[in-house]
Amino acid sequence: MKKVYTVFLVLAGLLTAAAPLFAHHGRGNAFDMENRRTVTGVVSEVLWRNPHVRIMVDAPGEDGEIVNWSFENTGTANLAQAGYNRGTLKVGQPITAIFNGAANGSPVGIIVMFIDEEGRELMSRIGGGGNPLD
Amino acid sequence: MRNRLANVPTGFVWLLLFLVSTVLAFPSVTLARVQEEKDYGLRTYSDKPFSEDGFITPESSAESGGLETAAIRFDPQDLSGIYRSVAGGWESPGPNVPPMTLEGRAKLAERVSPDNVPNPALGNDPQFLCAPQGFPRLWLDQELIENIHLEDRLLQLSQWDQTLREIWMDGRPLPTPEDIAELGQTFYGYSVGRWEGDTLIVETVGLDERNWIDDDTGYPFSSGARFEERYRRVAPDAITVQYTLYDPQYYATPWVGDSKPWRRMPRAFVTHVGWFGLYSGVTEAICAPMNEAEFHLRNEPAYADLPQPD
Repeated sequence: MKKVYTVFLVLAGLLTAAAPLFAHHGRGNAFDMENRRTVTGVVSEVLWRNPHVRIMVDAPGEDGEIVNWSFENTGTANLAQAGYNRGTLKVGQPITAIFNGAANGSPVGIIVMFIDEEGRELMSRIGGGGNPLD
Repeated sequence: MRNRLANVPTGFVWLLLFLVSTVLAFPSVTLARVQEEKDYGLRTYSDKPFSEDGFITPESSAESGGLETAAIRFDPQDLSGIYRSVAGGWESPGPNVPPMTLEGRAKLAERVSPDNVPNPALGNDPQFLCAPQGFPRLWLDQELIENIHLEDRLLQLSQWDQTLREIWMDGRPLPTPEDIAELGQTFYGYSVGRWEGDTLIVETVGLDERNWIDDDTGYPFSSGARFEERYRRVAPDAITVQYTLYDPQYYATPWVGDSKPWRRMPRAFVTHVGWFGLYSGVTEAICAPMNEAEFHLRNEPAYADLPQPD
């Protein structure tokens, strides 16, 4: 019972911490928030802006052609408070994106986490206390 | 069974002694606290203020002076510092929404949150265009707000939108409806404040009725609405804020909100790359329309198959 209560408290805390993430911009049902996908490539652009930071990643598609993926993160203040900044991800850096993708399969996603070649976390979606999706 | 019954009177006596001693002790504690307030105009607080909201860690608390480790006196009329609402849940005055008038319901029916339609472009939330969130929506959000006391007013700086709100404390009355007809209604309204004991009461009128009260539903208020906020500093690092909306045109009774906790952020939480303060390039929270347009453009492929606005 105590364990269940603890899990409840942790979940409640994480949901509270997550609240500012999408407080400003609804997504309708354009993104598949139930499933995660993975893409590996190199960072091509970092737009450290509001309402949401965006990271572009060039990754080879199934036919070998380079696809320019667009990943949306939370706002600048939340990311800064989680310890990230404009220099955390650099153009040309090899990277793997774990994300919730567009429901229609287009190369757009809401990032869950970026990891490096060794699997180390480089940047998560949420700041201010934890990743609500893990 | 016989022994257990025999123990009942003894247990009852102990319980009675405990209750009597508690009742006798309580007034002395209360009197000591009142005496200190009388002598110093300060309060004493020794509870643990951090690590309960998911934002502050014990380490960051220690950086701010380890407030949780000692009894600390504080001035209940000093609200200065950088705070963040940690109320969580629905960002509104409170859950007890009063019955709405026909006119209020008609206005509410016009509001379409982008969360409630398949394509957010079908909604009409002004924030979707990076319009100012306005009062009270931005204040109910969980963004950082810095209170700065000046001689004649309290300034509230919001990190989101880099917005300034003036609460005049110089004794001036609220503008009348006739004044507002000439001054004009604004996103953040006209605010005056006064202390009643250790409660700061802030009244705001003259708000732009295009403001939404909350993100999720877009509850409205009319041009004649008046908001009252009641601020109380309850600990060195904590304020409670309670909102009441008086708007008989849209709501049959006042919307009396619940008490919302705000926590003061440790300095380390608002220091980035060595730069302390609400505003810096790394935290800049201005929702510029040109950035908003680009944001939607980059997301456009995800919405291509969804119903489009006319």
